[in-house]
Amino acid sequence: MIDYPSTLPCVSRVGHGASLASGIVRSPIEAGATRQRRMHEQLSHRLSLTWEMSQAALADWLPWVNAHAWDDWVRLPLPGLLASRLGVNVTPTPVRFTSDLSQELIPLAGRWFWRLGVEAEYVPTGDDLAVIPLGAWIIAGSPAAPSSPDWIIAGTPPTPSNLNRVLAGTPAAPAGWI
Amino acid sequence: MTSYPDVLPCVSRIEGHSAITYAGVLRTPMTAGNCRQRRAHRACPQRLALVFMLPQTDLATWLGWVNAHAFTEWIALRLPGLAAGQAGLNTTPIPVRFASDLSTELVQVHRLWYWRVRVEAEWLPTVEDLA
Repeated sequence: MIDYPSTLPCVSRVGHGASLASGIVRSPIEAGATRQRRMHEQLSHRLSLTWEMSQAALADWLPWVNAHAWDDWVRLPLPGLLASRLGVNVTPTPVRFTSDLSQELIPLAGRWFWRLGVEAEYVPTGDDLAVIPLGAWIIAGSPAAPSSPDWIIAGTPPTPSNLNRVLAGTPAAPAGWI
Repeated sequence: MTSYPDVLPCVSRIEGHSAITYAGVLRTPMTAGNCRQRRAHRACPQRLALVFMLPQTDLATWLGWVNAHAFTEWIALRLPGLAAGQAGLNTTPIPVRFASDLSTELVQVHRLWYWRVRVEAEWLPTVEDLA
């Protein structure tokens, strides 16, 4: 697997989408509800990717893509499942191009740009799709970098709370129990 | 049956909530005369088009839960429609099962980016629901 070069244009958000294959097999029953089961639980993604780039950028982008993107898995910064798990806007996601490339010359803010469209696949791992616990739980830090001792200190770092308490509710209407 | 968690986003009303009700009509053309018509069932199963609007922060939680439950179990999802109308409410939990692939699209709403997720689900009303 290789990294998508940071010097090449990012994927456009406009027109970004995906089809997630649920792997459902449905067997109609002559009398009764249709039976349904799943072939897999991977929710493999078929992504629609779009780039908008200048002609100069196209000269760099197209050879690189031609050399790697259809033969290797490329870690491409994308929004979606992985980025959501990490609490960031985009994160490198392993994808492989699976379709021909469409190119269109478009005017944008008084200049001419190339809009490129391609389909790619991403196959989430079991960890990527692991169920995230729901309900009332608090992690100090962020999901990507949780606090290593399980501490939450009330107040702000320069002026922590003397009592080291976290009050549920709001300051105006705190919860009855601490 | 598993309840759809309260902390996950509700089904969107404004993004095109709709349903097809299958009447189960079987029509037999006749050489001379009107078609004969009868019904295969009277439960009128519904095929629902559901749309969820999710901020990216909720997407992984939602997808993980949906992948674990919504395709293989009947989940109690709050929806408008027949059951809510009978209960005199805007929405009420009804048992549905996701029955299609998911389609996601990144869209801008009030300068924020959301994932619009479309899926089809099925609901099999009981005779009591249709009484």
